[in-house]
Amino acid sequence: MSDMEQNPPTQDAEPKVEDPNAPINIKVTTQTGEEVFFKIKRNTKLSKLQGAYANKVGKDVNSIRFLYDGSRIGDDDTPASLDMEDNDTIDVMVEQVGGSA
Amino acid sequence: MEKDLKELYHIKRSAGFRSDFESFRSLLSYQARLEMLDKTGALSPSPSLVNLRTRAKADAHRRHSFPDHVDPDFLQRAIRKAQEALKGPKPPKPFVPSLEQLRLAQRARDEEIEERLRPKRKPLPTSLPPEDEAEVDAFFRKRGVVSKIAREQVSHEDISRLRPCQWLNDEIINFYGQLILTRAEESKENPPVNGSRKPLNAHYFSTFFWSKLKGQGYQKARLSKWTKKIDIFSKDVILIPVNHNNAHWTAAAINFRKKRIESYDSMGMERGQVFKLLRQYLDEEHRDKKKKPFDFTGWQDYILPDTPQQENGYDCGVFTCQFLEALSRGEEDFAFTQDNMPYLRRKMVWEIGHAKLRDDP
Repeated sequence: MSDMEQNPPTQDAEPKVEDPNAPINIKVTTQTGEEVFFKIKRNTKLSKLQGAYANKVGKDVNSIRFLYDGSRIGDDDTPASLDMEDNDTIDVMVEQVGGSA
Repeated sequence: MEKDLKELYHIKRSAGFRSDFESFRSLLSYQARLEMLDKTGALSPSPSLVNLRTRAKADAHRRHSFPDHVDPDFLQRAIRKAQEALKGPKPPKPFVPSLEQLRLAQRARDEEIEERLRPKRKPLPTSLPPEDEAEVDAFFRKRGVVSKIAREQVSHEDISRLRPCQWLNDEIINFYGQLILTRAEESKENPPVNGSRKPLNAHYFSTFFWSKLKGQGYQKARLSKWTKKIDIFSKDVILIPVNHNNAHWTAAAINFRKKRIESYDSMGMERGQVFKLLRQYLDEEHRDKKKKPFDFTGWQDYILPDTPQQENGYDCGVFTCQFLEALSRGEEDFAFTQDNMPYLRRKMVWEIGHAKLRDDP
């Protein structure tokens, strides 16, 4: 899923794994306040983080949405492309539906 | 002098004076007295050292003789004035409706009600042009990602929710919201030339805005960061889709032009919470960005009395998208009803597939 990536696809999107090459800490938080922390290099695609998160919480990645400051995170976004800072937060939301009960 | 008085009386009668001659005589006396008092300044504070007793005597004399103030000179002036007044525009006749007028008023009222029930606005079509209908079918057949715009994209699973009787999800609503936002932003740079009305300067908050605001509140949801690149207070309108308990969609708007918090619900339910939370949001956003409380002077909570209503258990998402789209053009009411939903679902497929709103209704 990360053929375009320049960094070796190590475990840099795995939870709580150190990477010496300028990684930043990112918190993924749910609507109910559960938090998962990641370390990710600034040029690594956030889609890796999304996949890792979905894996960790046991959800289909297509059923959850990742937002940074209200904007949807795209497939090609990286912390650098979104100007993310160390200790920034990503919100994870679940699919919403409605018809009228 | 009596003759002058009569003449003046007749002039006044013809100009609409309705009482008898004796009343007129007393009115005139009163007028003359007021005029004289104005001139002599009887009511103004006296200079110092006035002999009040002499003054009182003089006043007593005046009071007894006041009808005499209607002297020929006063009368002549009054006649001249009355004649000038006659030449001027006439005062409106007192309103006593005739039976005919009552009937006309009644009919106008009936027609107004009729018009509201069956608007003269051009009815929506029942289908797209044939070639566009074919494109809609093609979009339904596509697999994987069907369309993209800005940061939004929809898959074939999302698009299939626009088939009849399906509930819409956040992906469809947010994609449609992005179409509205994109049109508003493009029209800022290139105003429409074909005579269509310029879309408002609108901002669209995604469906997650309401969930965050309601679930966590402004601070904890870090909503201040959602607007780090825009100033909502400079907009005409803020459009907000609202998801209720993962079962129902409604539209809300913060209308800065009309100073209204608006709620549009195709189920017509009570939406006090929408008004309350959006007011709180406005205040906190204003405190965060402008460093002072929001001034709610003149602001109202608004519900359109004739909000179109759904007649089933699945079309609220389509109603919500169409409310938001019309509001972004500054519409005050809506041209669609339940009958138009099958058409609007297909129109939305075309629009999402092409990542572009249509100009036709």
